[in-house]
Amino acid sequence: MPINPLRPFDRYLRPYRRWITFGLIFLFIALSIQMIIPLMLKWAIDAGKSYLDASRDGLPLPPTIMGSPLSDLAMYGMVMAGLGIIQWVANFVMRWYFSGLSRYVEHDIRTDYVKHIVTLPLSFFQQNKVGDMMARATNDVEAIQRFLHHAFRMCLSGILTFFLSLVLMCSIDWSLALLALFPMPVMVVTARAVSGRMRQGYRRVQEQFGVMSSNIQENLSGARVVKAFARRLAEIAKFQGLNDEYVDRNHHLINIRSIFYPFTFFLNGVSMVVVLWLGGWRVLEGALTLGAFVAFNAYLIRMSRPMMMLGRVVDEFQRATASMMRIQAILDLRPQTLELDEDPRRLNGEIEFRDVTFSYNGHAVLEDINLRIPAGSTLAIVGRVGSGKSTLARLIPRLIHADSGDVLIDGQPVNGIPIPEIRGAVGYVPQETFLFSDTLRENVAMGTTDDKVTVERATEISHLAPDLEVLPERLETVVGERGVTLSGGQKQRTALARAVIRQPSILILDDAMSSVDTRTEEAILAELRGVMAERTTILIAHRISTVKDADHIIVMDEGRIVEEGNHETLVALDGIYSEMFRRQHLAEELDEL
Amino acid sequence: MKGPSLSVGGGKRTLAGRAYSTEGMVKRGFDLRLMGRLLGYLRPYVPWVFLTLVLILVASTTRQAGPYITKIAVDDHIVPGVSDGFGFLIAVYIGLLFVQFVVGYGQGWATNMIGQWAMRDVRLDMFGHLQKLPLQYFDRTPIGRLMAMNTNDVDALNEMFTDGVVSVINDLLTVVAILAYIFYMDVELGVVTCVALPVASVATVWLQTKSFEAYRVARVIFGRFAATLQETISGIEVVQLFGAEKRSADRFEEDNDSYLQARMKSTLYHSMYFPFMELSGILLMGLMLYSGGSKVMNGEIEWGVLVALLQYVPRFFMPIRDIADRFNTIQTALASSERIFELLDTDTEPPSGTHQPEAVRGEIEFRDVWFAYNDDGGEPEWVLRGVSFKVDPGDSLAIVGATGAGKSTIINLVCGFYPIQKGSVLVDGVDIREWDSEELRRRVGVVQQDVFLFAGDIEENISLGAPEVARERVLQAAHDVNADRFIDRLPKGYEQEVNERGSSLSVGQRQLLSFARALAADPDVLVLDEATSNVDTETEVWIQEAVEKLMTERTSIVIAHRLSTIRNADKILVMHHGEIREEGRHEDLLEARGIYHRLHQLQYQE
Repeated sequence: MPINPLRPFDRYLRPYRRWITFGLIFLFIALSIQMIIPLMLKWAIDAGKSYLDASRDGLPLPPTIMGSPLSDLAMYGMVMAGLGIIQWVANFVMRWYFSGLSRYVEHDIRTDYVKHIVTLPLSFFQQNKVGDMMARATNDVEAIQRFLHHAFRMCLSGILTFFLSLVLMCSIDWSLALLALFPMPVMVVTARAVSGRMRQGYRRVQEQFGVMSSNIQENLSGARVVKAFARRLAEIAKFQGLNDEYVDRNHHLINIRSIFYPFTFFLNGVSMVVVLWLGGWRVLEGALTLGAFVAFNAYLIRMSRPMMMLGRVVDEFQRATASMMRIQAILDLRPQTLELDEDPRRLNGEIEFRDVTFSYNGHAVLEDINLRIPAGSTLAIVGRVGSGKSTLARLIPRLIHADSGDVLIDGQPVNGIPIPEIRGAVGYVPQETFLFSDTLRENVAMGTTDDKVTVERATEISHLAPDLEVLPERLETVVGERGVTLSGGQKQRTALARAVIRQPSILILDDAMSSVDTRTEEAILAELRGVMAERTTILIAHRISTVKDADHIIVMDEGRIVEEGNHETLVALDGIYSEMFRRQHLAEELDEL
Repeated sequence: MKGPSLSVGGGKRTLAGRAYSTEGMVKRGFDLRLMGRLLGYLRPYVPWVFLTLVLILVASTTRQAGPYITKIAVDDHIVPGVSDGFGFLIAVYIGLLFVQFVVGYGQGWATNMIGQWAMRDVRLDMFGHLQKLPLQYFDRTPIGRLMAMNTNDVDALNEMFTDGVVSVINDLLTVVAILAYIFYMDVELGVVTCVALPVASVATVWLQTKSFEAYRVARVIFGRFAATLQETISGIEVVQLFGAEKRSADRFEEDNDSYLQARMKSTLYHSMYFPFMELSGILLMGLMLYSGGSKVMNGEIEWGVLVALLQYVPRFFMPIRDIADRFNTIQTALASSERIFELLDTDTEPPSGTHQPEAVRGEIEFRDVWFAYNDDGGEPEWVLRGVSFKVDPGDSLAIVGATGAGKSTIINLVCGFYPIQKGSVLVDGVDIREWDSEELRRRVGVVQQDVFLFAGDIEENISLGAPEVARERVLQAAHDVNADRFIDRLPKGYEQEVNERGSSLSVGQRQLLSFARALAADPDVLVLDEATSNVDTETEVWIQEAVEKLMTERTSIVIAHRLSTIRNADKILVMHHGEIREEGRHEDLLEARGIYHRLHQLQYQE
């Protein structure tokens, strides 16, 4: 361990410096008492023994403190009890401060981390696994807490106990102390050697655990295939093999681990034997008093515990620093600017794409997009899956960035508009609805304080209102994983209400009504036309019925705009759009058969 | 100066309207039935368990012999000044240390291994049971939850077997052993020691109750925090799009605050309890010093007894203290075992029949089949409404229809993946419920639309690890469905590693692979759900050839998306809204100018 093992956590410990000071004071009090107790035993026993020996040998009786040897014993017992109570209080305060400190620091780090993470750019979330981000907030923070919890209480008090005991033992009989401690270096050396092998064994176990887990995961994901091919027994046999291997590897680890604790007990026992043997000889020869012998033993017992704990604390320290580094790495990432110096400007909603290209994994998704959407107009985008429709829309609220070319809003490149301003102006309803496990009201309002459009009004516009009647607690109904499951259409209408309530200058519906039936969709669109009269609307859809009334329609294919115009001109063009129109007409007919 | 406090973050706050998860809530107290069932897993290892118990008994007795030997040393040698035999006593002590070491090793080893073996059996039971669960179970249970059971919950059980139950026994025996030594030395002092027992027990039970409650609350809050975090990360785009970063952060802070509060509560209990146990130790030591010392002064006992007593007292409280911890471990494990047993008690697929014919002709018949996926007592949403058809041995049937017409459902029913509500499905004239389900699935090969690849090489993905599928069969199958054409181009051929995620195979290649997989199993009936996705022209030609070959050689039902497939079929079935509306051959159906005619225009016209 480095000179100051707490350094990595310095920033988080600083606010609690006074707690540490307090904790330390009480730690010293408790520790001192702990060190006095064996001395009390020594005095009591020596006094009693010399009294007894003197009366047996007919020598003058040694003086007593309380008048009789029995009341002396009682006094020693009482003093011990008194000291015990003081120690209890001191220990309580010490623990309360130090354990509390570890919990507060845990809280502070975790809060910092989660508050920071939500402000990171989206690219961060695409590059990192959810599990990894979760692990930092849970396992890593817990590792730090565990270390801090033990650092002061066990490590510091352990080291102090060790040295104080050593000093006091030496003051009783230094040569005996050194002899009694000779197994200690053996313990340290073996602990190091064994812990290395144990770590390796542990790693092998973890590896196999990973293999076994992914086997289970795969088996469950492929349950259908397993059933279809009647592979049940084979799958079980395969799992059994992995399972057995896991047990085998554990077996190796257990072989090593099972030696460790009995061995420390053994070495500890050796110290005890040395003290009994050599110490006993000295008492026998009269070089040591019986009380000193008892005290010596008591110190020895106090010493052995910290020795056994040391390895664990070192381990915890290594884990905690690694964890702190992992968390710090995230905290060091630059967040997006979310605060504005002034009130956000109101954008008019004129959008322009100039020679925009975008590629993903070396594959061109958008090529040479040139498009102007006048403020207040409605643009519809149609095209096959993967033709680049969503990508085009996602460029507007800066969810992604164009490789080349410019996306402009009100004539200003989007990259120059602060994120809060642009996202405040854009209401985006994505393809896949995401609802939080929260009330519908919260899901719609999402923290908006703007009361221009109420949640109720927003649900009316999105035609969610009729559905609310059948929900147990209307707008206060909790939805999502831990609540009521909504239908696809209800989800989409909730997401729509979420966008509408913000009265955006630009409303983007990215295939946002695919699960809403045609009739409701038409009603919603009619309603939106009223609300969005002055605003820009971008509609991405598959249904011709959705887009036919738009001011302008573009047809995309393989990342390019291949047709554009309004419904009539496009139908007349006899291209992709008119083919779509024809097929949908057929499908409708078919559906009615 | 403000110290750590129980109320955090500005005191009270309300959680009105927030979802409280009851998951992770642990029932209080011990469920004996549950415990009994858990211990049932130890049954195969009863001899080992007995050995462990014996070893624990020996270990706790020898471990506590040290102070008693000290007593003998003090009384027989040190105080009277007799050096004769002292060396021998020391030798005995050293001997005991060796015994202790060996026994300790054996006990640790056996305990851990029993835990490992029992866990292996639990895992195998779970895995085996999962294989028998109906597909509906997987449709509605997130894999993440099943994985958590297979990992975290089994781990918790392991802790219980190795650290929980055995350690409690160990701790109890240690207490008993110490008391026995003390009583042996002096009965009165033994009684005095026993005074400490109720005090320590009451304190321990108090802590156990209080802190477990606080711990439980903390875990629930933490679970909620983790769920919220996971949700926020998954939905970060929405969070950022709608500028809800601050709202999310506030939510976290709320949860974090209440977590801290709950944790501080258990910290408070622990801060009181552990020092209290130390206090009890010191008080008992003071008491011993006085009462033992008085006895020595009165000549009732010798010095050695007092010395030994003073060594026993600190050892006495440690096991009692540890028991408190073990109970937490055991209770956590019981909660886990509850979830595991719930899984193990989940109904498996209905018992399979026994019909296992020598040979299969390959005749398939649906008789007035009604089917709905929602089979939970609610109003059934019929996906199939009275579907009847028959495929003669060796014939091929193409099923067409618009999306959602119920075509794919037919595939799910032929192999009995889902139980039907009305009517019957017959293979060779025998209701599939009477068939041995594994035999049925071996005879009926299914090619699903989405091809699932297992981690492994191409060959393993074709043979699916079945030993009866020899290498030649794999090669032959791959050749028959044209899969060899792309496999041969792979750098490592049949040894090329693939897996479900990040697979380098194209959609078309995956389809060919699934054809080969089905063919390698050599089924008598083939049920094929043609994938709709676009593939490159070359692969498309291979697929068309392969499908044609597959269809002509055996009874086959194909959910068809390719015109070529439909044309090759002996009969076409037109499904519409869960019913069979038209059937016949391509030309006749076209002429009828009904649904098929429109479908044809919509889907199959280039």
